[in-house]
Amino acid sequence: MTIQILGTGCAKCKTLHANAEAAVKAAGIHAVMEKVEDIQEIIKFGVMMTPALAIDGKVQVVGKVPSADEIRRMLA
Amino acid sequence: MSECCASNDTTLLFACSGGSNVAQIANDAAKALDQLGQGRMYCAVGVVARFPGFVETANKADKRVLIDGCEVQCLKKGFEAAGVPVCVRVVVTDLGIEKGHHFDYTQDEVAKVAGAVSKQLGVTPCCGGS
Repeated sequence: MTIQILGTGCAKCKTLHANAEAAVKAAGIHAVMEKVEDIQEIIKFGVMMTPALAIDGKVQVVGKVPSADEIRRMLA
Repeated sequence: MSECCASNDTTLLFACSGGSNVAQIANDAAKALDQLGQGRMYCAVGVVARFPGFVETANKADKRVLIDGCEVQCLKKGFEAAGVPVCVRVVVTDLGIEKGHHFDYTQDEVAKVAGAVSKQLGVTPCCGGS
């Protein structure tokens, strides 16, 4: 599984990254964490608001920071 | 970002919005950059028409970005005529996107233009406001 955090490095992006890492740990799964900070790549996802979260290339959350628990449920 | 630029510096984005694919790609790229916090989209036509308030606001910005659709370069010429200097300029057709009188374009093309602007913004010092 690949989890991508889309954002240009803002504080919310960092929080989302931390929450996603916590969610992966809580779920007890193996996932590759990837930061997507390039504007061109972010827009290719169709994302116009950051931060955003994609799981296996599919955008799940846009423009907000879900909690680790919310992300864990997305991983199930 | 240049050392002279604080995080709250003003970047204004001006885009062509004419009757072709490349014009609308320019417009969509500016919208995307605005929404992604890279700058604030502003009315290019108001500046080109030389309305004093628009020209004044444009000149006060720390960075002015023009996205022209094609080699006709309406915005570049219009801004020159209005006396508004430009810091970053991208022409959509220069990026290998062919102009046509249709509106069939892709998100990847919009992303390509926005990416080119973003890269230039990252290495362009402030132009200074008036």
